[in-house]
Amino acid sequence: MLGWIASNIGTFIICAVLIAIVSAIIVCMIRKKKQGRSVVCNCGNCKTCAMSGSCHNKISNMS
Amino acid sequence: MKNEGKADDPAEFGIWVPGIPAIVEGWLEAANSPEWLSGLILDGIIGGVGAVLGFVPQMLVLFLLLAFLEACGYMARIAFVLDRIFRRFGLSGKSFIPILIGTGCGIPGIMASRTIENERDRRMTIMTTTFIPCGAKIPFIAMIAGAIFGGSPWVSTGAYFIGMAAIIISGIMLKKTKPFAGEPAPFVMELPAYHMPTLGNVLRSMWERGWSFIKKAGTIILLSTIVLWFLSRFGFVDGSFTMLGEDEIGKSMLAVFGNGISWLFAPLGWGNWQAAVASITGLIAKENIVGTMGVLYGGGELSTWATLASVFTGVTGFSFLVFNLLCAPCFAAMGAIKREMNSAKWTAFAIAYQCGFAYVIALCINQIGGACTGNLNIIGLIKSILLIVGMLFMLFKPYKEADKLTKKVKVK
Repeated sequence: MLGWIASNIGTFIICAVLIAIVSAIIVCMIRKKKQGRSVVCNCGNCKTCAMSGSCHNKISNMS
Repeated sequence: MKNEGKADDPAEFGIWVPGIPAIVEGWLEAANSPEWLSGLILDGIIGGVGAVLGFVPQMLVLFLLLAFLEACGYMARIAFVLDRIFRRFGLSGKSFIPILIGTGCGIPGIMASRTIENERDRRMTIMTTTFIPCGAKIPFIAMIAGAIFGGSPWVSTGAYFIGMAAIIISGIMLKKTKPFAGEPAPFVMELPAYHMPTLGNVLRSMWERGWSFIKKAGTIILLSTIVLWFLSRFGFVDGSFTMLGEDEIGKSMLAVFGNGISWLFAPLGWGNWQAAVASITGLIAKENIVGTMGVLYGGGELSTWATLASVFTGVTGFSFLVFNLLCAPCFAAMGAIKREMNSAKWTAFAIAYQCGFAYVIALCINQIGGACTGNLNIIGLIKSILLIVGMLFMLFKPYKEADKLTKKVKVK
């Protein structure tokens, strides 16, 4: 068993890194969605955008 | 003649740095990783995300030039200049502001239509804004231009002209229908004085947009490529669920789904499952078309671009480009359409119109282009000619302003 784990340790590490990256992306996307920010928006920095108030009305309502 | 027809040895030009796929492949081999994990990382993540990230330099140049035009005050002027042209086609200059914003991203472009007071004009602007290529479509345009048209600069320039033509044609046709009839609203705006923008502002604007693009490639595109790789490399063979070899990819779950819908696109000249799937995944985010092509056409002996060049002809490639430029935007933009229309019926009509218009234009390009290049399909040609005649009729039909109330009104 230990020998099998030792021979596949590289695979386990790579898988752990991949799972961590994917989890971080999903958490980040969920957090963005909850904040009312677009997940796939391509317009750059929303703070400087003239239409920011329309896209992020949840944030502007809170503030 | 130096190498007798063989390619030059890269080491002759100095220190040879292998590409990222070669370096990662070396690491994976050293870590003794299994075939599925190497495939996922090399063909899925690096093939898909790498295909999108490869366009970062071009995107940065575009963002730099756009930032310069915005900062010097030219963009405000072009909106004013175009008001006269747009007015002839039934659109007001106010419709150009959303279109201008839409060159960056369709979502704020659709939101910007709120400045249009006339509801009919606003609806029409929402429906046509996403015809203009947004930042997310640029890697896709660049991929088609590079792989199929030998890097011709006319393809990307043409994409913007096609977008503008689609807006104008749609404007003229829709204005002649009852729900959109009426005079366009007057356009008044204050023009800023021309000035030389500061380097810091232009560079900051370029970086913010560029960084947003990179972040998108590292999040939603990366997730999509992982899912796509899994769906395209696993499937049922002889009743058992297994990982497929390079030559068995046609039996994958994605291929089964793609083959189920590819018949729809066969009249457009690209009825293969890979292109059908790429058009569907493009609805998640338009960069995903490039990522999907990277996953599905990469990994073999040929590069993604070489495979694309072998699968598409000039005509079918152009038809594929035009369909994906004009069809429904990404889901986020569809959500923005829904919010701004505030009506499920109008949202459905807008998306159906965009997809239908894209389909008709791509069909005409493929059938007429095919007839000109010796690939004649008589039924397809007749259909496309009939569609063109129908469009011409709508374009040249005289505009009649309603002067009679046809609705029944109850008088209390």
